[in-house]
Amino acid sequence: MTDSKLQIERILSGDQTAFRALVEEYQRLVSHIVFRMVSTKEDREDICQDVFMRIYQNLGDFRSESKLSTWIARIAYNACLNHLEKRKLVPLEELNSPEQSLENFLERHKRPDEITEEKEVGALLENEINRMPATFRTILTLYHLEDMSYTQISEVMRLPEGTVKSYLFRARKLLKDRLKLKYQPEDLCH
Amino acid sequence: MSLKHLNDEEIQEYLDGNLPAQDRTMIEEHLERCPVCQDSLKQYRYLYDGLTKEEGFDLSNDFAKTVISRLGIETQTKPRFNYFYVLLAFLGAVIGVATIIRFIDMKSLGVTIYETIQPRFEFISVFADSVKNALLILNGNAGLVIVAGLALAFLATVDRFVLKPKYRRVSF
Ligand SMILES: [Zn+2]
Repeated sequence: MTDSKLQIERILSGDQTAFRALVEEYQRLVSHIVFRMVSTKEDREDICQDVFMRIYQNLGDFRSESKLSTWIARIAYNACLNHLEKRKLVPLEELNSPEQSLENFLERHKRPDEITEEKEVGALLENEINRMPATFRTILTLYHLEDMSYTQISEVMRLPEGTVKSYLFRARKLLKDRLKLKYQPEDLCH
Repeated sequence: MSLKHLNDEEIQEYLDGNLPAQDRTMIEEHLERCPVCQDSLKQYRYLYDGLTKEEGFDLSNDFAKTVISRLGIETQTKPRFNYFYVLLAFLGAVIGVATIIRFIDMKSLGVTIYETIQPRFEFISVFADSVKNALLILNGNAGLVIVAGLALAFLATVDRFVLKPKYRRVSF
């Protein structure tokens, strides 16, 4: 029996300490997804709480053919989608066809002479990521921050693997181009 | 060395580490001699570093505790409360009945009840009969009922203070 399977059995048999350990192990993953998907600060912690309550209530349905982290990320992603749809915080067309809204993004930010106020490259990058559609932001986070594979991301977001890969590559090219407008390679010292 | 510059996809695949050894070598050979692609690689590498940095927001320190107590409120306290108060009510009833039995002349009460009920409701005379018999028996043994009440009170105390933590764990 794997560690996570054993942990789940303990939680299902009523072991509160085991559930606490699970929360502490995965709260970083959940908070990253919620951070990328939901921009209203005051809602984020509540959503994270709801996510873990759903995890607890549905733990009996977890099938070990996928990784526990993938399953948890999927619950978090769905909770965020529900929240965005319910609050109408993100235009529905962005959730349904993120590709379209990336095109809009490119349209809006064509001018190379645009004055950006960010002083640091990190802040500029953060700002550019935040302007992207939620789908692109989440893929970037799952891949780079959570070290998930295309397969895992496609399970979390219910997107074909090819789409995940193409979104990831396009998002990175876009961000690189945005950084290039502002900074010459020699500024990016290492 | 190929004459064409590396495209964005090749550079990203290279940085992702997803390329077979042969392709890696080709890309590295090109990069060694091409400042344009070196710049592009440098920009991408910078971007990758930024994307790997810890971002997000801090959950409150007692986040796990809050989740657990929210789950607790919804799944555990309600049934506990009902169960305990049902037990208390039952105990009260037993003690009340025992007290009444101790101080009242049950024999004549039983006879009175019987005589009132019997003529009006012929069809429940069998039931009234058994009520009468029960009351007559209890009148002689009121002490027994009180002992039973005390035993129940003892069990309730044990349940409340000894078994309760166990229930909590199971129902959580
Ligand atoms: Zn080149």
